[in-house]
Amino acid sequence: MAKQKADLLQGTLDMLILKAVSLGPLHGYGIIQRIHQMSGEMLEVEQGSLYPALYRIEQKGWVSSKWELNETGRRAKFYTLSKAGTIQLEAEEASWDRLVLAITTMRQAT
Amino acid sequence: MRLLNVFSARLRALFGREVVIGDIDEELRLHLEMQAEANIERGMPPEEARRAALRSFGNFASIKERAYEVRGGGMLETLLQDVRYAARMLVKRPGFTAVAALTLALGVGANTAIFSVVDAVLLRDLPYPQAERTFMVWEHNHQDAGRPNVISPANFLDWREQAKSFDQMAAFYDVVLNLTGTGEPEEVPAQVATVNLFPLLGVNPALGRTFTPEDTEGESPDTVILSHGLWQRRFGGSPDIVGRAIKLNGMDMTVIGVMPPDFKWFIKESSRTGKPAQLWMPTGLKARTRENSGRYMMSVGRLAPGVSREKAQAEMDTITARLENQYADYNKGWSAMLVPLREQFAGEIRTALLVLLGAVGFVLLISCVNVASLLLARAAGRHKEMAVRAAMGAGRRRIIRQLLTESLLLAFLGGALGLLLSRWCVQALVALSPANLLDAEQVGVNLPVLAFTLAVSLLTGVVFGLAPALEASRVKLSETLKESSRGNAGSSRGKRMRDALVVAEVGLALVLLVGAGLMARSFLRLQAINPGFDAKNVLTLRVTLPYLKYQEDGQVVAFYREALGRLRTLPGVSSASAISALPFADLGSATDFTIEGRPAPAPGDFNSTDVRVVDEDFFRTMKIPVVSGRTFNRQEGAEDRSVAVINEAMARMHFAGENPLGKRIFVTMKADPYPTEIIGVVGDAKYKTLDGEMRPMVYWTPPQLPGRSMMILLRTSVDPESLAPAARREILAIDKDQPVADVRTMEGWLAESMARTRFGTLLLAAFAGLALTLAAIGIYGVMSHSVAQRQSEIGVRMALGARARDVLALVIRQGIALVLIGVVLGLLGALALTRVLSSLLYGVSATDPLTFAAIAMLLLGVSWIACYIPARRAARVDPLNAIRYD
Repeated sequence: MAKQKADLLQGTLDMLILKAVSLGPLHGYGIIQRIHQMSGEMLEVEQGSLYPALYRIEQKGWVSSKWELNETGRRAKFYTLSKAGTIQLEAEEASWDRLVLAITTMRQAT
Repeated sequence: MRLLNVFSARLRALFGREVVIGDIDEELRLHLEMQAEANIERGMPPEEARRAALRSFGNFASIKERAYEVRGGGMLETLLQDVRYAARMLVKRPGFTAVAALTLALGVGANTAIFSVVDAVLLRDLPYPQAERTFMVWEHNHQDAGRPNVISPANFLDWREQAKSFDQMAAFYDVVLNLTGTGEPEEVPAQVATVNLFPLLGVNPALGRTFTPEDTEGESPDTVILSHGLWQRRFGGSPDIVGRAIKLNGMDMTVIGVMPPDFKWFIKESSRTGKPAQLWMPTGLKARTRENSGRYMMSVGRLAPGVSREKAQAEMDTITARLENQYADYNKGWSAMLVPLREQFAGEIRTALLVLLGAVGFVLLISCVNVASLLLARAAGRHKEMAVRAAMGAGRRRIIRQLLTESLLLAFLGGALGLLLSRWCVQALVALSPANLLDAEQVGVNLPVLAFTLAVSLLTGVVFGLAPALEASRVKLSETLKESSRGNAGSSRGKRMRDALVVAEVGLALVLLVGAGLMARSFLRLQAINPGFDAKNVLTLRVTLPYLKYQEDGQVVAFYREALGRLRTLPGVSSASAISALPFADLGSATDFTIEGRPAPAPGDFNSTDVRVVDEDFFRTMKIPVVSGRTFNRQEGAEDRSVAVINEAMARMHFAGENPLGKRIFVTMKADPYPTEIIGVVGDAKYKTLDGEMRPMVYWTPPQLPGRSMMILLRTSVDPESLAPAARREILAIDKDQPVADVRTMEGWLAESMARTRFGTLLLAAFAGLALTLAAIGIYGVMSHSVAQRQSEIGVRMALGARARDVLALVIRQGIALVLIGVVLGLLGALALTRVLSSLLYGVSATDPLTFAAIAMLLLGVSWIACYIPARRAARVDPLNAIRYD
């Protein structure tokens, strides 16, 4: 059975990026891969929307970046979750849970 | 930490566009590569892999742009973009830009010019090191509290010895000396000072040396220091000037130094010569005692380190109290007052300057209002453009930023033009200003002035740009884009803003005009004051006889009798006379006196009177009326007969209800053992200022109190100046080494005494005129625009039967309604603000209703014309055309 691709709700991209990076420093391509992986291959982030979102997150101080050598020895920019980012991630996850709960409750109503 | 990251990222982005773009580029390329590799691993051929990767990315270039923008690298870029765009917009409408820029240039230019003067006079450091700790030390009498008085050298010596608050105190007074020898004899204004004057001021001669105490030892000092100007002018700037011998007042003096080019030390207030010194002589003040000299010097002191002004004043009070007790006759009721140097120089004109600064501020505001309404009018026509921008994604903030950039660019353009204009204005100001008011070298465009202009331009740009920008960016997208190009009268909010601007303009102009009107009336009143004598057709010239040649009183008296005798024979001279100190020209003397037969006043309370020594023909020459008794006869003019003539003020104050004739007075200055008899009373004459109060005056003839310096007066039946060469010749005929100075007409002296007031009033009037013109132009502009917008409405009205006259009346009525509101607000504002002027006004109250009413009428009249012209144009329009114009 083909996996159903889920549509990304607007605004959740930030949360996904943060989550991805929370497991360890990653470069842009790696973030896309990890999100794909962690979501059970259901989420594919648009390459075009990744970098603007990533830079915005960096502006807000939720991740920090550093140029380092990647696994194949080429120079790549690695992003690490910052302390503020950890807090933000928790906050976003919490509000997401609330949203899901609310919708689930609605769905169960008759 | 986070903030630092953000800041440094922005900074990098701001200044390192290439770096950042390179950064992003590298990152994205790597991503592409890895994607391509992943594709290859999945089995795609390399070419296919790359293309697929690229495709999955989307629009590479625009992503890069977006990424760059998010990184904040956009700021500098967008600013440059805005500026370029703004410049294009301004160039596209050269007419609009020219008018706006010029209007601003006028406002900014006037402000900068006046600020240059304010800076030079009030703000800039005085050219003496430690000027802030230097004070003039005056005496003042408790009967005349607040008025600085010249000081007694004997008192000065005691102060200097006893005062610890000052680490230096110097005294000086102004004199004139006759310079003879090479070239024509010339009267040189000079200053006699204690040897520490220059060290106190902190300025040393540029050539040679300064005075030392040794210079004052011996009979009389014979060393002098020249001013740079005198050295250049009279001695050709010759380099061997130090050590040269020159002849002053017949005595040989040695030049020991020359002061630097821009050095000036001149206290106008109490200078007996009224001219800045060009030469300095030292004095030791040894021989001055309280018995043999009165008060005539000025003194200056520099605070010791760590001492405050209050402490110094308190110590001086203690010292003067002590001296009061020690020398009660001389010092009772006298104490000392300290005046900061800056206040001494600028105090007189500070109020006037600040008023002028306020006035040009108003002018600038009016220019801003004009430009703002111009912009508003134009904004109404740019609604389409704004709508398109908004549709393309520009946020409201971006639009406002862009419009503000346009305003700021316009403001800077106006500011730059204004700066140029102000340079020219300042030159004109300095050229036209009364003598000794402004120093040509000092007033100019320098760093503080430039900074001021920049700040003003910026502020102006924001002030007149913000409202239109806010207005223009408020766009209802769908409406505007849908609208046909029917001429819209602008949103109602825009119209209200324009109306408010008109009201503001009118109000501001009114306040300024009222101020100028009050000053003008005051000045006219001043001019109309009768000085008590007839100043027309009187030539004056000064002769100062040097002591060496004219040591005996008899010689002095003889000289003047011969001089006047000769001058009386000149054709064209109907009468000739002399006086020790000319009204409105010289500082005269005053003294105290007692009246015979009355109890002597308590020490400290004394009667003071002004005194003048006059030739017996003086009253006839000046046409001062005789009120009772008689004036001097020829004998009394030639010999010492102990007789005096007093003025009405003296009679009123001290002989009220009695007949002063025959009464006798003892006058301290004369130091006679026998009293002087009053033989006549003459009409009051003004001596110092036209608006001053009348002081008592006693007149003597020269044999009683000879003065070496006299002002000769010639009443002429022809043009007074035409007799100047002849008069000079007669004096030289008596003594070929005797210079003649200050040859002018009496009217010239009178005019000069009012020169400052006249200058200030003219300036204020000029600014008010400018404001009126700008306001009128502004009203005209707004009315024209509003009429143009209402073409179709007017057309419809006329098509429906309205006559041209009705349309005219309608338009004008609406315009005048606004003006009326402005006038009312302006009148209220003027009522509140003109009290600032009250210290400058004479004979006119700051709320004079006549002036207020007249100005209001004037403004209404001008505004009516400004409304009438566009209204008439509107009424002339062919209704068919108007309706058709859609």
